[in-house]
Formats: sequence, structure tokens, C-alpha cells
Amino acid sequence: MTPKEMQPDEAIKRLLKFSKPESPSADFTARIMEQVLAEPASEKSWLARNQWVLFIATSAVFLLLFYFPIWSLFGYEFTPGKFFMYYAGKYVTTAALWLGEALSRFAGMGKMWYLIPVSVAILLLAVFDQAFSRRARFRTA
Amino acid sequence: MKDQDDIYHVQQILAGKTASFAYLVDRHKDMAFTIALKIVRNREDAEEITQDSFVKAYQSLRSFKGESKFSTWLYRIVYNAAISHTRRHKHEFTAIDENLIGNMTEDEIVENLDQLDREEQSKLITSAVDHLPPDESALVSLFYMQETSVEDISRITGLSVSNVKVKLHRIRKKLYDAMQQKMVKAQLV
Repeated sequence: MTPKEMQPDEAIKRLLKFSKPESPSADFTARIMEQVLAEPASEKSWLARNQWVLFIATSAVFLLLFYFPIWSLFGYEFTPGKFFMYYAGKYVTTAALWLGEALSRFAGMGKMWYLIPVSVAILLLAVFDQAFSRRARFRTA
Repeated sequence: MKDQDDIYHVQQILAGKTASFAYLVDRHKDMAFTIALKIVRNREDAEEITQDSFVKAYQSLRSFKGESKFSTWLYRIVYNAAISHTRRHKHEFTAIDENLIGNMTEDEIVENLDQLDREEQSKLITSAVDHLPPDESALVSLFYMQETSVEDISRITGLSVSNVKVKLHRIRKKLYDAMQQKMVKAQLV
């Protein structure tokens, strides 16, 4: 069934024909205009309007700096691509080592040291969920 | 043509002619207020909701892309604000008493209605609409009074097109039941 096929019931339509929409108070438009004129429409900042252009341009510069280190401020004499691989390798290794150490320390703790942070995390998650859903409802309104 | 006027005035406002917003308020305030009133059922609250919705619409006018009619976009803001208000302030409405519903056919109900004068008819239908839950009452205003299309109602309410159709079908049945009940109660039949 297409939307066009949905026709109003003729009898109900006829009965409601004389029911006019309700009107707000006489100074309704004036009150709104007073409020509106007091605060002009917020114009988006230059930064907000060009956020994607800025993001792409910045990303492009960073990629170029990583890929062609000869142009970079770091001054390393790497061939194209090597600079990126060097730093990626260095930092991924450091992050992996740090994570491994943290996990091994965590594994050595007693049961209570596990339960307390997990309980706190669950509580925080519930609070965050409530706050987020309330905000979402408010925004929808 | 009127929708084109709306777009023209939106462009004027975005170009800095804030006074053009008065045209949009004047053109849509009655229906926007009716939607809010049907949902919250209190004139003061409805007026406040409608006013806030117009100001909100003005502030976010840049996000109106013209993909739908301006009225559809505005009524959606009003509808959501009013529904939100009813969630915060639970309103009670009287459901139809099933025991008082007779077994007249729809044609018989219409025949009986035709024998009443216009004022009585108007009272009967208004009362029947008031017995509907708030969101359904707003659907009646949009579909029967404003002659809004099912697709636009779907955009305003956020319901799917098929859901709107189902609701309108049920509303029609409820209105007939309510009118029959009123006639039985008032011994008009």
C-alpha cells in the first residue's frame, strides 16, 4: 500500500471540518520576535565551518612529514617510508611492553583488588549510561 | 507556493533579515500550538512549548536543509518537545469505557450523527478526540485538520510510515467507538 492510498475517513473529516486550529495568545508573535531579536542566530565559527578541510589538510601535512622525512623538521636521513616504520615500530613496541607489564602486575594482585575496580567501573558505566540517555532525551526534545 | 514562501523567508533570515521570522511564526503558530495543545492539554504549557520550539527552530535554522517542508521540520520540534513534556508530567486521560460501546455499524453511527445539529456534532467529535491518548490526538489534528500526508506525519513523529497508517486506522476505530459511547450516554440514539 502506498502512502497515497491512505485516505482520511470522510465522515470524520467532515465532522472536523469546522474545528479550526487553536490560536495562541494575541502577543505570541511579538514575544517570540522580542526573544529572537535579543539573541541573533548563532553563526558557525570559521573553524566549525571548515573543520573537515582543516582535518584533511593537517592529516595530509603529517603524512607527508612522516613519509618524506627529508622535508620534516626532524632531519633524519631516512628513505621515504622508513621514518614512519621506524617510529611505528618504536612506539608499538614500547606500548606493548608497558601493557604487558601492567597486566602482569594486575595478575599478581589479590581477588579484592580485581573486584573493587571492576565494581567501580560498572558503577561508572551505569552513571554514564544514565547521563548520556538523559542528555539524548533532552536533545531530542 | 506557500512552501516556497517559507523557503524564501528562511533564506532571508539566514542572510541576516531576522524580521522575516515573524512571517514564519504567523503562518505556522496556530497549527504548532494545536499540536502542542492536543498533546499536553493545557493552554499555558502548550503556549510555552510552542514559543520555545519557535526559538529553538530559529536558533538551529542553519540545520534546516530544505529536504522536507519547513512546517514538517518545525512541527517535529514542537511534537518532540510536547511529548517530552508529557513524559515529565504524567497526564491522565479517560479511556473509552468498553461497556458503553454499543454494536452500531459505522454507517449507523454516521446516520445518527447526521441527525444532530452542527454544534452537537462538533462537541461529539471534539470530545471523542480528547479521549484519545495525547500522541494520537495530535495525529488526528495533523491528518484530518491540516491534511498532512502520511509521509510527513512519519517525519514529524519519527514513526515509520506503516506504523502511522496502523495508528490512523486504530484512531478511526477509536473515534467511532467514542462517538457511539457519547451518543449512548447522552441518549442521542
